[in-house]
Amino acid sequence: MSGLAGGAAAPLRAVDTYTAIPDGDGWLLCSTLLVRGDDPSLRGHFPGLPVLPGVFVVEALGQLMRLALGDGTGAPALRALTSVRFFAPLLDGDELRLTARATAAPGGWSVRAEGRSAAGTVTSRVRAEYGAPC
Amino acid sequence: MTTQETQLEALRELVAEVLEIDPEELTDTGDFIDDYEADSLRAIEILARIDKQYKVEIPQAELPLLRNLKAVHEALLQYSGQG
Amino acid sequence: MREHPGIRAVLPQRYPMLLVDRILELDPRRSIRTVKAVTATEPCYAGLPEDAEPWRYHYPPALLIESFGQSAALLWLDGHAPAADDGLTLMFVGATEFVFEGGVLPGDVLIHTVRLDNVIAGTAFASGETWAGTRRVARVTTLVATRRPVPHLTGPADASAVAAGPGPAQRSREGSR
Repeated sequence: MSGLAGGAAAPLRAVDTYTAIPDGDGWLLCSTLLVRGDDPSLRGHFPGLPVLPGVFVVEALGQLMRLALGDGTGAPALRALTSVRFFAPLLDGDELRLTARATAAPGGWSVRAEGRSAAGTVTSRVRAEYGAPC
Repeated sequence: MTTQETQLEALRELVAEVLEIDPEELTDTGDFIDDYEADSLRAIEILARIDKQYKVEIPQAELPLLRNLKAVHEALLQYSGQG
Repeated sequence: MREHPGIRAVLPQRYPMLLVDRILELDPRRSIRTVKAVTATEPCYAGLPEDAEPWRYHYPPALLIESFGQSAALLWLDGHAPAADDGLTLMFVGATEFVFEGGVLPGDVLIHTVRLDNVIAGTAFASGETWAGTRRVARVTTLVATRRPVPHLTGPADASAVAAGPGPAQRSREGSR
């Protein structure tokens, strides 16, 4: 089912489980997402070969931020991807395990996140800034 | 600093940004793959950034040789007509 | 100008992840201008509650990035459409400084202007901006795409194994998937 994931428009619900632990001047956030090949959002990506789009990792991080730190006004919203890299694709049956460190910054949060597969391989790294919605 | 030393330091910053480390951490001979966990894409990115910033095209045939900052600097000098 | 069928001829994505509607201009291997119309009938808006505040309607940045990236891929691959079965899959591998400057809502027509800055070792580097009317809503310094081999599953994924997962799934809301 798409939509209403963390409360807003979304291509899919990208967080199955999550935890949020206060950590000094910030938070340690973790989430999981099973890659479901029959999810309608993967139907066209690609036909016959479900691959979790790299941008769905960005979506998962955004939903995790809103679920853990959301204040009902739309913050934290993604303001900038400083750097994002995808090292390996996640396929049907695998799992995205996202860990993120959100540090308080002027206007919002600076976030460093790493995505791993179920086997523990690092599949993505993200550095991003979050703040009030545009 | 000499012009070459200045250029080396500018290159250090460029490469460090691609490798996502602090310039201070990047040594002249530290191996990108062995010491800085780079994958093949990083070397390609370095070439692309050098092309964009210095307008110098280093042939992709050089990729296997570009294992550290020193090698990248030498390639930059060579292909910008200064080597 | 090129319409959707021409886009499908080049890109492997299909509904609901083919996020370019039309090519307005194409300077081969240099630049492209594309259109992605944002509409309330897209899947990402399904399930918004009746009283949803305006910010809940903001088009997901992830989809804007994907739309921009597909525009870059169109520019890169145009006239070089890969063989259908060369074993390589188009992949978005990274971006640097993708900045979001404005909210996008249903009814906005996104225009991506994309420049192909470099192609090295089968990897494309692009940059550009996204506009909604006269508002610039995003800009990106570098977006990187490539084509890589992806291991195909040797058989159909076991449905029950996928559903069970590695541990009990704690859902934060009800509803079946």
